[in-house]
This record gives sequence, C-alpha cells and structure tokens, in this order.
Amino acid sequence: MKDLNNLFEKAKPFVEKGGKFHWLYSTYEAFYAFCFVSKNTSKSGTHIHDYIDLKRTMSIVVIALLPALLFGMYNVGYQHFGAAGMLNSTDFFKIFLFGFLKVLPIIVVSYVVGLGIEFLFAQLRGHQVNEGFLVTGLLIPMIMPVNVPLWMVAVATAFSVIFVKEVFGGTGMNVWNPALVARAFLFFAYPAHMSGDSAWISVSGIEKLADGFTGATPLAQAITAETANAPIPVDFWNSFTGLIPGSIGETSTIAILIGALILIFTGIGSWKIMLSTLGGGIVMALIFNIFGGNNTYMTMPFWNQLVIGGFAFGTVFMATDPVSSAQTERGKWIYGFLIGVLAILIRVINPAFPEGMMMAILLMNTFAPLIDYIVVQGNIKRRMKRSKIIA
Amino acid sequence: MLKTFKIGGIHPAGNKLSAGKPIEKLPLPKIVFIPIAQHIGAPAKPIVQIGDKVKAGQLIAQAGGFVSANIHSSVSGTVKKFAPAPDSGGYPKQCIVIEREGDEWEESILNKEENGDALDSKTIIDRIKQAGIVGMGGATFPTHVKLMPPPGKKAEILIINGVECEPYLTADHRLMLEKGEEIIKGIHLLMKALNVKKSCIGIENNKQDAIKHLTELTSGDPEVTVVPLKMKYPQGGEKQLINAITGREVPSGALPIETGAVVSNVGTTFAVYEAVLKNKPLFERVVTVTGKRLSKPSNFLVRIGTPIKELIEAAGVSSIEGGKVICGGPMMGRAVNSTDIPVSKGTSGVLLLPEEESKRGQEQDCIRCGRCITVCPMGLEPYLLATVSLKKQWDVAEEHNVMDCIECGSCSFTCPTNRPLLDYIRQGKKNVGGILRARKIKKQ
Amino acid sequence: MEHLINIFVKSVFLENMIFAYFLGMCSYLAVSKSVKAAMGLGIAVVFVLTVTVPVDYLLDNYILKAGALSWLGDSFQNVDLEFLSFIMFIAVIASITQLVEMVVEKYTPVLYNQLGIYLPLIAVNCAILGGSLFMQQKDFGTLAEATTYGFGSGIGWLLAIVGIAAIREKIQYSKVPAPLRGAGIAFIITGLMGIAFMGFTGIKL
Repeated sequence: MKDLNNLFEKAKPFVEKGGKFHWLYSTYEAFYAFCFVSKNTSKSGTHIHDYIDLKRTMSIVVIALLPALLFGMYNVGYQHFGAAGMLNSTDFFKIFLFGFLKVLPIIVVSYVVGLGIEFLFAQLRGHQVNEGFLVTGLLIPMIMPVNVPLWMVAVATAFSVIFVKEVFGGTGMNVWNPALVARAFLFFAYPAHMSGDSAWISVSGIEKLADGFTGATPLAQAITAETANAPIPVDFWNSFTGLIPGSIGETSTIAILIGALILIFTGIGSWKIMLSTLGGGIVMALIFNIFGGNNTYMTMPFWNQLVIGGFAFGTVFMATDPVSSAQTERGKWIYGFLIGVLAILIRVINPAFPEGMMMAILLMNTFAPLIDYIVVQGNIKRRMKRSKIIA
Repeated sequence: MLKTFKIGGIHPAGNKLSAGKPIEKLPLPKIVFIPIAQHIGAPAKPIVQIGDKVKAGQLIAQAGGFVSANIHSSVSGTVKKFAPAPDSGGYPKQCIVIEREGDEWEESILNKEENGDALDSKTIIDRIKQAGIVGMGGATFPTHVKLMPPPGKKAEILIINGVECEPYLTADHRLMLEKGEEIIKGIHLLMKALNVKKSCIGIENNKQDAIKHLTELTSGDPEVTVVPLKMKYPQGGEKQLINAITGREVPSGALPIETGAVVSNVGTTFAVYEAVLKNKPLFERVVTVTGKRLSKPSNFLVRIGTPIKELIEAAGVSSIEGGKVICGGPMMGRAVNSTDIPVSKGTSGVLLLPEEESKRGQEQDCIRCGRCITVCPMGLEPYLLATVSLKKQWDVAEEHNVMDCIECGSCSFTCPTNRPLLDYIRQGKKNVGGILRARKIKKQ
Repeated sequence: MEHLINIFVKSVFLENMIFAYFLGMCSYLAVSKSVKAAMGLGIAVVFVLTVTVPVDYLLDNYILKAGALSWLGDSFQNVDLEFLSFIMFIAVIASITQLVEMVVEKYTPVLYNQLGIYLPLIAVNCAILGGSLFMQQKDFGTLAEATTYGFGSGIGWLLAIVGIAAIREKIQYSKVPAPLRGAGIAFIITGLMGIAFMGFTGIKL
C-alpha cells in the first residue's frame, strides 16, 4: 500500500494544474480515490459525517449482488448439464466452473466497455469518474440470458452508458436505470436472442439433449399454458431456490433475499420501495385471482407470481436504484406500489412481454420525477396550510 | 415506547467523553474579552469607561433594545480598552477588555438563596432581564423576551431542554446531576413567570443517571414531570423537542409559542435560579472541553470572556496542530481559526476534532438517494434546496420553504456523496432572508 | 362498460398519441419545460379532444359519411360528403379552441401567458385532428365510445407531456453536455420514454 501511495505522490506533479499530463487529472483522481480515501476535510457546516459514502454504498450493493451472481453461475452450469442429462455424473465444482466460464466473459465485456466509455467522457468533460458503474456493470450481465452474444452485450452497454447516463451528465443524473435500458434495448433490437426457448440455457457442445427437455422459462411456460388453458407448471420451491432457466442473476429468490437483507441492514436499499413493490405485486395478483375467472394464468397464487421471472431481482436491485427511483418519502411508497401492480399487470395481460418487471420499472422510472414533483408540491401546500391555521 | 419527534433525525455516535467528569472551576483568567453582542438582537451599549474599576457581576453594558440583553463583568479589575476580538464566526466583534485583579464580587450577590414564594411574575421576569440571561443552549435568544408571549398568545406548558443531543457535549448533563435541586427551583420560577401549571423536562435516554436523579427530585411534585426521550439528533432543537413532548408541530415560519409551549434549556434554567434567588447575573457558565486527543476532557465552570485556549490547556493539551477547534458541538458548532476567541453566553462546548475524524470526502454529484429527505427533521427536501441555492434560484428556494431549515446539519451528515448540503442551504437562507426583509420594508 | 374501459386504456397507453403515433410533438417539446404549464396545456388538450371527437363523430355520422344524410329523405341516400371531413373537423376544432382560449384568458391569465402561442396552436395540433381522424377510421358504434376515445387520447397526451415536463425540470440541474441542452436532450428523453411505453404494445384487449 505504501509503495502504491508513493507512486501516486510521484505522479502528482505531472497531473496537477500546469503539469504535463493535467488532462489526465480526472483519471488520476479516480484511481487515487479508488485506492485511498480522499484528503479533504470539512471547513464549515457539519464537522462529522456518517460512515456511509458513495464508495461504500456501491461496494455494499456489489456485495449484496454476489450471492445472486454466484448462484446464477452455478445455475448456468446446472441447466447445461441438466439439459445434457448429465447432472448425476457431474460434481459441484465442474458445474460451477462451467457457469463461471460462461458468465465471466459477459461481465468482463460489460465492465470494459462501460468503464472505457465512462473514462472517456470523464476525460473529455473534466469531471471525476466514480464508482457508480461498478454496480451497473454487474447488473447488466445479471439480467442477460446466458446465450447472449458478447457483441450484443457490448452494444447494449455502450448504448445505455452513452444515451441513458452520460448525456444526462453521468452518475446521479440519469433518469432511467442504465442496466434496464440495456436490457430493454436488446429486447427490442434483437428479440430473437433475448427471448424464446433457445436463449436461456447454454446447450452448446451437447450432443444429445435429455428427454423432455424444454428451454422455456416458467414465465414463457405460463403464457403457453394459458393459451392452452392448461394448469400452470410452476414449482414454487424450484423457483424459490432458483434452479430454473432464466436470466443469469434473477432466478434464485433465496440468493436475492440474502442480498435484500444486506441492503436493508446497511440502510443502502430503501426498504420502503421493496416493501411497497411487494405489496403492489401481491395486491395485483390477488385482484387477478378474484376476477380472473377461468383464465389459468390469472388464477396463479401470488406466492408463485413473486418467485418467478425478474420480480424479486427487480424489487431488490432495480427498483431501489436511488438515482432513477423516487426520492421523496411518500413518493417511494407510491413508486414501489405502482411498480408491483404494473409488473404483474403487464406480465399477465401482455403475452408479448412476459418480463413485465423490466417494463414496469422503466415506466415508473419515467414517472418518478412526476411523482416527486407532486409529493414536493403537496409538502409545500401542507406547510402553507399549517401556517395559515395560525396566522 | 419512548417519545421522540416524528420526522427525520439521525444517530451520530455519542462520544460523551466527559460525562463522568464533575464540573470544575477553571482558574481565573488574567484578562477577559467580553463581547457586547453575545445574544440575538441589538448589541448592548457599554456604560463603563476605560480605566474604570469593576467588580464581578457589575453591569458594564446595557441592553440596546427590547430584544437584547445586559452584559456584566465576569471578573473584578480594570477596564483596559474596547477592542475587537474574533468571535466563533471568525468576524471581529467589539469587546470590553478587563484585566483581572483579585476576585471581588458585587455585594448585591447573595450567598444564600432568598425565599422565592412571594415573588410575582413581573418581578421574576424583571430580575431575569436585569441579569442578562439568554438561551444558553446556543441560540442565545434573550430569555425575558421569551417569557413575555405576544398579546393573544398564551403559554400552556413549559418544556425544559435537557436533551443535549449534540455528540461530545456534556455540560447540561453534568449540570442536571450536580445542580438538580436548583434547576427544579428554577423551573418553578419560570412557571410562575409564565403563569403555567405544567412543565416537562425532556432528557435523552443516554443520560440514565440524570433521568433517575431528576425523577427522584420531582417525585412529590405534581407539576413537573421528567420525560425520557429516545436518542435522536436533533432532538434538542426547539421545534423538535416540542413535537417530541407535546406531539404538536410548530407552523412554518411561526414562533414555538404558537403551540403553547415555551422551551428553556437546563443551563438557562439554572441561570434563572441564580439570578432570581441569589441576585447573581449571568457571568459564568458550564463549558464542556472535549475531544479524543485531550488527556483530560472536562466540564469547566468558566467566566464569560475567558479565551478558549485557557480551557484547552486546562484540559490537557498544549498544541492544537493537525486538527480543528470547534466552538459548540460537532454538528452545529463552528470551526474557529484562533484560540483567542472568548467564551460567550452561548458557548456550550469547545471540541478538538482531529483531522481524521473531521475528514470530509470529495464532493460528488448527487445520486438522488433521498437520504437527506429521510433525515430532515423539518420535512424539507434538502437536495432540492441545496441545488436551487447553488443555482441562485432564490424564488424557488423560498417557495420550497428554505427558511424553515433549522440548520441542524443532518443532511450534510448523512449525504453519501459528501455534498455540503447545509452550506449551500445556508447560502439560500441568507439570500432569501434578505429578500424577505427587503419585501417587508417595501410594504411598510 | 367493459368495452369502454378497454377503449380508454388502449387510447391512454397502447395508442398513446405521443409515443405510438408521435402526434402533437411541437407543443409537446415546446411547453414541457415546467410542469405547471404542461399541466395547463395538457388539460386544455384533454378538454378540446373530449369535446371535438364526439362533435366530429356526430358530424361524421349524420352529415359527412356516405348515406349519412338519409335522415333528410330518401333522395339523399347516395350523397357522400366524406371529402369534406378535413375542413369540417378543422373548423370544429378551431372554434372549440377559440372557446377554450377565451375561458383560459378570463380565469387564469398567468397560465394564458405561459402557454402563449401554443394555446391558439392547439387548433392545428396534429394530436387533436389525429384524434378525430382516428375516430373516423376506427368506426366507433356509439357516441359514448367516441367520447371515451377522445378523453383517453387526451389523458395519454397529458400523461406524456406532464411526465416529460417533470423529467425536464429535474434535469435542469444535471450536467447535460452543452450541445445537447434544450431540444436535443428532450428528443433523447422522448425516445427513452417511448422505450418505457413499449411495454404496453402487444397487450390484447
């Protein structure tokens, strides 16, 4: 650590104002802040500060994502060997290794492309690079199907970092969640690779698929079953543990719950949004249960609705993204509740988009500023009212 | 369930290092600098000349208006000069400089307390006014003004502020432990002055000994109750304390009396007791001197006007290099650039904060997490106020009630991107305040 | 009733004037800088649409359509005035806009000033004419359906303009690159809002 510090100290004169490499200052600052804490102290205002800062916030989110990511890696291998019918003859590490090698390139691509663009923009515009993309760069791979071509990941990441984040001014300024837009972008631009039965399970190199193999996700199966008016084949416990086909990080409700606990206990993720999203989802599922009539999808019990697809992942990691969610206290409740309602609504009544959660969050991202606006105006009115009673 | 205020609040680490240290008398200083503006309102007018001999407790400057307070000499000696000395804000303020000789008190100050039963409301308020008592929690609002509610308003309850929610500070805590009986007497005097029949002492839960002590003292007293409160900053704020104890909310832009409550700090209450029953003006107060680098964090009884460097030396530190000296607590106190600053009526503590503790990270862009909204005890939107203040949109800031901000610093404390929100909001408040005043003058 | 709800939901979300047809873009981009003004214009558009669509519906069904004039007598059976629909619709819209303008000017002069030229321009707002023309195309069976459709389209437009206004109010504190400030970023926002609204396409109602 000391040598590293010396290195930084040595490089400092070059990048300071008037130095040869001053144009690299933001990069220097970014690396320095990443390795050490910044050196400024407060001069006025509050003299002490909470232990939480942006760096720690982002690191904790990354840590909270890890259980879901590791499980996702295992699940990729599990589905692969399951499809090959070789589950019994393959040991745990081999399964995990397979998934690891499948997922790692996606993560690398997303980080390299995203961070590359971030650094470029930071250089050009002279602001600092910060830790925001560490989370986005991990979220993008986790909501991709495993068979997504790497160039698509690169294109989607580039699109979302440039058009969703950087044109708005970088970290903290975006209106939509970049990871979600990346996914939506791919979904609309290359639908064939993002849905259907071939996207979710890596079957490359398998010579003979196992009997009764289907690559469809439970959501897709539910849609198919609905058209056939057959019972919905969702196994609650499989969906809860996550050994089902699906996007890399979103299948395991239990791994996501661990992440949720980490986020809530550290106070990073808003429990209000999580709870209200859950509430909205349950309410909507119950409404469908009551009024659904003989439509099989609509009669699916709510606990099954909550464990399949991206609902859990979206609730915990996407809806709570501070930048794109509502900021105000009451706004958070409204925002979360509407996400839950819309997610189930779109999922059930729109067969074209079984991934209702993604669209619901994007839609509420769009209206989060409006919700905030209304809440803030309401607060002003309330305060006015309070003072008028007296005056 | 313990009571507390409803919205917002934070939980900074308590760090009450000097809680176990009894109040000590600080050795008398050689020279004191007594500022003539130690309170909110008009500065006092000096009534002594250079070369005059004064005694401790003698009136040396007279209140300069209704909202103003008398100032008394804190030592006996000779008036040397009128010279500016920096105050905690860093600006030089006019001071009366007195060189100490011996320690002779004004004869009118009684050693034994007088019986206060016969005093009426007017006499009590008059004595408080004569003694120059101001709010000693830091706001320094003249107490006699507070005790005279504007016409049409009626006080219903007296709330005694023993919360001391700022980290590190313990002056009020010690005072409650050591001068409990006197404080209770002070409370009864204030109740008489206000003509109210009910009083609550709000104490945060981390001061169990003080809660116990005062509960025992008030056990046979139907009028005074001790209310233990849940720990939460800024509970010591007047509006927050009223909300915590009565559940009422002070309206935007109004005085606390609108809710029928009058709040007084325990330090002030003690000063009231001394002023009314012992005829002793306010010229000394308890100051906490603390910090993790001090070998001897203490609570001192200090004469007003003593330079804070004498306090720091007495607390066991010779050099203050590599850190900050803060007048007040770490949340709302001000960092000072010199230790020659005199202790004034509102100085509740002197805190030495080493650099690593007061480190502030690089300011980054807001990530809109909304933490500042969650913690704001006034229910404002600090992120918005800060940005509009930065953009100088004063009209928007006004519309969003920037003047409601109590400058508690919870938003700055909690911001994960280290934005100095409070600094920006103060800018906004200053400008909006100016605009409001200008508008008022124009109307007249 | 269920049928009407279907038409309403469809016109608000699925066939949103802005995100599905990109109609009424000029005032959408120009008046969306503050939520208050956007709200005012949006409500005006809702009102105009709710009134013009049913009026135009009646016009269409009793005067313009082939055979619509048969109530005058059998000899009018073969009269087809459909070629007049553009002119007639625009005339109706213009007169109703005039009415709205007078009402707004009388009761909220501040809003009137804020909306400026865009209020009279509602007369030529393509979303309004679009509403009437889509109504003609969709061949609604009853007046209630047409009214619901007009109202729903207006609400959809209102939702879009108020949504973008809130976003634009929020990003005025962002560090948008200089070349993109103003219209540039507004177009990007509109596009991204369109992506968000695409979640509704394909809903079968």
